Amino acid sequence: METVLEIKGLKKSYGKKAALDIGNLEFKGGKIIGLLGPNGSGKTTFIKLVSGLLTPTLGEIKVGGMLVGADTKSIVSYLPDANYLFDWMKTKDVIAFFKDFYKDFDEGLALSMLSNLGIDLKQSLKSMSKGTKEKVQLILVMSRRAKLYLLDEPIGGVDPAARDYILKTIISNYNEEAVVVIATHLIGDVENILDDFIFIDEGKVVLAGSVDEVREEKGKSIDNLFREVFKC
Amino acid sequence: MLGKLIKYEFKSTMRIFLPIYGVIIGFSLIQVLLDLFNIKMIFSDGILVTTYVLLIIGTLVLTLIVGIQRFFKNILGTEGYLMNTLPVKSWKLIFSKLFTSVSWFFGTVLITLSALSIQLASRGMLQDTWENIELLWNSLMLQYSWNSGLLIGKIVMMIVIYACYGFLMVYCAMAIGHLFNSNRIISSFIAYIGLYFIVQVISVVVLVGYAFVFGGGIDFLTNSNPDVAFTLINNQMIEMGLLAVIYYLVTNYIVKKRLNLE
Repeated sequence: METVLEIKGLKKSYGKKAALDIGNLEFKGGKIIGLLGPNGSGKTTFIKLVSGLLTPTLGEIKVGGMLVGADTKSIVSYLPDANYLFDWMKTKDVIAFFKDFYKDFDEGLALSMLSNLGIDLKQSLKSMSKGTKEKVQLILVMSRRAKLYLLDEPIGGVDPAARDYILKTIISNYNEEAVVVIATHLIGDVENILDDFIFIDEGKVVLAGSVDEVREEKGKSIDNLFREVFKC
Repeated sequence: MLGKLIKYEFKSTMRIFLPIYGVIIGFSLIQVLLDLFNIKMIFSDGILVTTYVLLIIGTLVLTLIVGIQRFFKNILGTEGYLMNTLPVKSWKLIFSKLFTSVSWFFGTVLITLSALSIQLASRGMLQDTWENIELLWNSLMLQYSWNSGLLIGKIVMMIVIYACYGFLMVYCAMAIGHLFNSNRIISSFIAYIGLYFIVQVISVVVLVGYAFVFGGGIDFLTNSNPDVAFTLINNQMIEMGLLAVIYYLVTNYIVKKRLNLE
């Protein structure tokens, strides 16, 4: 498989304090990777660096062989952990917006998912609940045929029933060559869809590997392993 | 992509400006109707005129505030998560904001002039006013043998340059403020004061330069020869245009290479 995301000597500091210092990483296509760690461990920092919202202090990040910039943004689909759509828009306006700017946006897919979840196209985002807004955001992000999906806490704000739908959406919508990075601390909920995991703490990679190997060799779930590693 | 950015920028901002323009025009029309039916208002003319002037000044100030706030919120603030992950080059993002803000600035000026024309027309003064302006204009053209097309072009260009310069200086200050890890708003203010100071220093240097070029110290400032004034204005336009380009480049560099959205 082709390398989708390549990271070399990556470091991000604020003043003297290092927020992230993870050295080298390589992500090959066709995998769903869990970026797992406690609050404030550097998950969001990592995702923002790859999506181009933060600038690395040291090192380089390449997506599809290109340094992060306008070109990589056309193949990266990013879901932030906060509401980032314009409040004055209606659902149909944000669909048009994504269609205008992303060549890989599949409008039909987005419309069918919105109708599955019973979201009204004419409803303005301002009048939506937090959970509904998150669903709309996730649908938009997953309706792109991107090479790299960066999902920051995709299930944090929605109810368990919607969680299942969202996870199913993620599995069924990413293609063979793509990489999906899911940053979360809700490990139990996502572990079934993960291929690989990365444990991160205080900006450093603590442990990484294949989910199946952990299950087979150690006879543990990732959730259990996480609780062991990050025992308070 | 630039066209699409500008389209959405207009869509975002017209929700603010169109209603206000409506109010300004509506206000003029109401006054026209009151005059037409000879209805005496309980307010004096003075109060009406004052309200009207305040409304227009308020709109101009709002045009500036919205222009600044759009850049701050949409590129360096929460909405930046969406805008800065679009597959567009940063110079286009900045240009779309600048273009839209300057357009609304012109829009406000035009609406103000239209509202004024409506009032003058209702009092049967529009024609007179125009004739007076024309007379004055023509006599100026004759006296100094200026080309009126050229002069109008120059005035429009001057307003464009001034407006771009003004917005870009604030953009640049906000971008510099963004370089700091904390207190970014305060840092932006300090950056603005810093830029202002630099501009003042440059102006003084240029002024001293003129004193040498024209000879006779600063006497050239009181020179009544309009050609001297034109040279000064031309040079100032070039100076501001150059500074605006520098602000644009610095802002673009920071948004492109030093972005840190917290």
